[in-house]
Amino acid sequence: MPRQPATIAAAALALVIALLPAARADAKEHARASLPTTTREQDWQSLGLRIGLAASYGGFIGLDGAPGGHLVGGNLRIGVRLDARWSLYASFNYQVALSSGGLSGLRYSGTLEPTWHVWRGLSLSVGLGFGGIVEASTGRADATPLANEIDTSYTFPDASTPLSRCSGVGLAAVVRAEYRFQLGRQSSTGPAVELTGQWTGCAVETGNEEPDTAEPIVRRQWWPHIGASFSWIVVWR
Amino acid sequence: MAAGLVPPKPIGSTAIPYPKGAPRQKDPVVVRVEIFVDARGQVTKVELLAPGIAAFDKAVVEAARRFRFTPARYNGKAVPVNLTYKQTFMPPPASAPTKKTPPASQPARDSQLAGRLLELGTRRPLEGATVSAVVGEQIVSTKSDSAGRFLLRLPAGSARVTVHSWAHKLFVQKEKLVAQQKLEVKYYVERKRYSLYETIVRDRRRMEVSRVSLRGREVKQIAGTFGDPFRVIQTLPGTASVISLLPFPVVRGATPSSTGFLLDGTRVPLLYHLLAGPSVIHPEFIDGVDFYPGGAPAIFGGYTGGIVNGRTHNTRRTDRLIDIDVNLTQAGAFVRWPFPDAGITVSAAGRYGYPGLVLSLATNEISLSYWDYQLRVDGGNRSAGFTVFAYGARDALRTVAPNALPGDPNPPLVPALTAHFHRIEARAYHRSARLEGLYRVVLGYNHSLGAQANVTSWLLKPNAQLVFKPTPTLQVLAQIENRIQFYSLGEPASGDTPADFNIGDLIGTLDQLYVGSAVLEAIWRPSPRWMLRPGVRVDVLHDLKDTVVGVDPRLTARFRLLTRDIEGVPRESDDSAIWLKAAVGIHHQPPRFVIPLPGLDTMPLKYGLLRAVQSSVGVEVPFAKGFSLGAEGYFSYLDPTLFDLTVNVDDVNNAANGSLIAIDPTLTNAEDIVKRLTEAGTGRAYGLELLIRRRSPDGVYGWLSYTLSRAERRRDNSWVAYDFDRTHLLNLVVGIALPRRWDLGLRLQYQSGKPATTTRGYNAARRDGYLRIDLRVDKRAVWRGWLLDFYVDLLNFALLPEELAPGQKIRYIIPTLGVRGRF
Repeated sequence: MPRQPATIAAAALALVIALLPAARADAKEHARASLPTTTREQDWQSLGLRIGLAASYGGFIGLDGAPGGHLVGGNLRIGVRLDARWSLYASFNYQVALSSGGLSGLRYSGTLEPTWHVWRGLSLSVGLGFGGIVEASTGRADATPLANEIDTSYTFPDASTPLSRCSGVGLAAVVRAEYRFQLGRQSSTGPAVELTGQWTGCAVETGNEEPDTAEPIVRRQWWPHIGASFSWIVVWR
Repeated sequence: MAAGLVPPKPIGSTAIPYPKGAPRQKDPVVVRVEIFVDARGQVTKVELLAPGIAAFDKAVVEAARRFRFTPARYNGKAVPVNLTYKQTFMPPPASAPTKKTPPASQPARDSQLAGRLLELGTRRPLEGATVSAVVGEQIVSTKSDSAGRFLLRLPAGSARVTVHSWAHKLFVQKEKLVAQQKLEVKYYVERKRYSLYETIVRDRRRMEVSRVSLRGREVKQIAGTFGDPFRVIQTLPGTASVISLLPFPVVRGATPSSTGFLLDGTRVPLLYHLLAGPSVIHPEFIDGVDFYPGGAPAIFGGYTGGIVNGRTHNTRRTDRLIDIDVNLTQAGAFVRWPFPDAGITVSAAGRYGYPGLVLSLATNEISLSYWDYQLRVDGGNRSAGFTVFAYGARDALRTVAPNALPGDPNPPLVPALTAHFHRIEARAYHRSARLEGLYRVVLGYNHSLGAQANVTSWLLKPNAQLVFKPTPTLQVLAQIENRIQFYSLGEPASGDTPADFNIGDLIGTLDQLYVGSAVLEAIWRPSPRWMLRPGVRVDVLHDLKDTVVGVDPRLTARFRLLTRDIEGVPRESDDSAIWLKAAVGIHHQPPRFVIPLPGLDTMPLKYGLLRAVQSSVGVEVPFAKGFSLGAEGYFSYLDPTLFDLTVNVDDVNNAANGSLIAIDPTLTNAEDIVKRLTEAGTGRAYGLELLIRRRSPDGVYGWLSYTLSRAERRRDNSWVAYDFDRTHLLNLVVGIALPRRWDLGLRLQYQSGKPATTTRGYNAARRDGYLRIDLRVDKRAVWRGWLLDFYVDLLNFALLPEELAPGQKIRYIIPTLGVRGRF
């Protein structure tokens, strides 16, 4: 029985391959696609949608006691090329941090980024938006007061003893320099370096609610971070 | 009488000469206008669709105003229509040749350029496209025939060839022509827009009060649904969520198990893989989805909430299709292949899901997998035919073995839940002008095995339906349906799991179930303004111990208040009218477990039948072609409610436990849980639903839905909010097709908070609501014979928080990255 799905999949694939339309080249007919009607530079500089996917690696440094760590992840960028010099992008970052005792979970952000195309494939972006952290189990010791010691929500004055895990969102800012090589009329690729700042309102839920209001009882801290990362992006138009 | 729309025909010539004084052009100039023709065939208005060169635009607009047509006819009656007209001006020769004696300097046309025009990506022949070639000073052009073929006689030399077709991009190519030789070419011309989900727009007549029908991109490209047609229902009015990730809707205040998910009217025992995954039917089989939040016609029985009916393609399709889809959580294939000699079309699909791969990045304490298959054979034509449809699915969930060592980094996993089912459905139909018959037999097998259940059942369900149309304004439907189901219970899977609750305790000694149903319904249009749909269904259920009977009379009425002149919509069409509508009816349902699992579709009849009295009044207002507003007020009375899903504690002193079934701490054994689930209650729900919707085959489409609602249960002689009552439900769904084969989709969902028990009493406060925003991007690449669609679907891309259990909010994102090939 365990082999059944694999057998079905293999049979289906074989059927599909068997049924694929044969690429029969008619020896007498010369197949042609259209010649381009614009130059490649015109294509890339013209008004239109751009989508980018990037892989990134970097670090996040916690300030005021907030935990930091290395970040590995991806980036989705959706934007509009406005003219030869300017674009406007919305950038979504999702990065995993796996530092034992440090930051351990998902760091994410969404920023709106006006982008200036300086020269050829070089561009500079400045972005502002939201940024957050979601941690599950981190290995960090719990902060005092402990969850079972409080019966109302509590905000720590600082992050000198960070929460055992953080779930929250705040403000994020990014500065990015990027250079892309055109792979053709449809895609381009290249490296990017970015600097990030993030201020996250972290919360840990105790699993209890205020009996009078049903509001969750939580502990809160504000975590400031700065970071830098290197990414490689592929952009389609 | 001709059926459907007969387009207008031009009277006299529609040739437009090259405008005098117009600037000389190197390439042909194409001008497109929309012409409005009234019921007498007179042109009332001409609109330029895309401004170009003024002189050519002006020439076409002025000439088109002088056109005359035979009137368009809709079902035999003259109606106003608008139509798109295209004029191609070919560049004039450098010097006007004399007719009788061409200049001696003009070279002889002793070379031929012959070829075919095919659409890039689909290989469909391009008919009626203008092919022009310029060789030196000579310009020659022709039109392609129905097979896309063309032939140009040209002088030898270098030729610049262009192809113009309004739905396609400009094609340009250079050819070297040799004297006395024929060059054969095959040109692949790219379309301006490609859609994976093209639909044929049908003028479906309005026959229900609350139905929302979705098709094409509306069900297959909505952000946050992973392309699954059935998940779109959560964005429609009247639909509240238990948890936004769980696709079990609370429709108009009814518990999730009171809403039926059907495929061509047949219940699907396990609609969603692993309860929250994609549906078990490959989306390519689904032509559209009809959603009835209430007031469903009498042919739909057995549910006191809403009805979601997936419609499969109902005719034998003649085009071949191969679709392969691979993403982060599953891989699937669909093949449709006609066999003209045998007069049949075979469709087959299968998917294998591996969500555990992604899940393993987060935890190694759970493993998930699933597969499904569908095989369908369609034969016949519109008059008579048959369908045999076999489908099934299997889900497997594995969790940590009870004997695993604490802290084991790689704990052993054992099966925790296995659910699977198989169905074979055979259908035959015949249609004539006055009589339609549909006969079906369904054979099914269901099995669920878990820590709290081990249920197997076999099903046989014959059905016959006749539709008699004695006059054009009256249609009578009669249906007889039977269901015979045999159950067997076994021991639950894990003996080590504390057996506080075994579903077997609910099922008890249920061994056999017999259901006989009869439906009689009429659709009567006594005048062009009125539509009445009275109906009654009678269900008799017997399980060897108890017999229960449900009698469901239902009435739907529509009144055509006004007919509006809407561009592009015939006045006689239902889409051009402002409708007032009302429905009232009784709906019965057999007792059903709170979570849909194969084999658990019916509980013993000793618990009785659930009953709802549903009523609604509303209005539909069209603004423009494909753009409309619907508003509907509803009231439902649920008496009794059984197996009602509840989560809130009775008393705030009982700590929230996060269980889907609220367990009083004093209830510690199975009998207590059984008592809570099977206790009959009373409920009511009322509210107002709004739906503003824009439909477009290739532009911006979507809808804005809002529901103001209240769902209550009777408790200690007073009405209190139901545990899943949400006052405000807001959904915004937008899809945009952009140039260069991009599609963007956005879904925003806001649901206000559910009730919570506090020191002030049961459900006296509200928790926070949730906002979720989903994003989907599709990019289509086109090769000569196939299309490749890359897609990214981010569910809750901003990780906005949502309450999972009392006192526990989670932030999550579910990304899907996939590729789909269509050949």
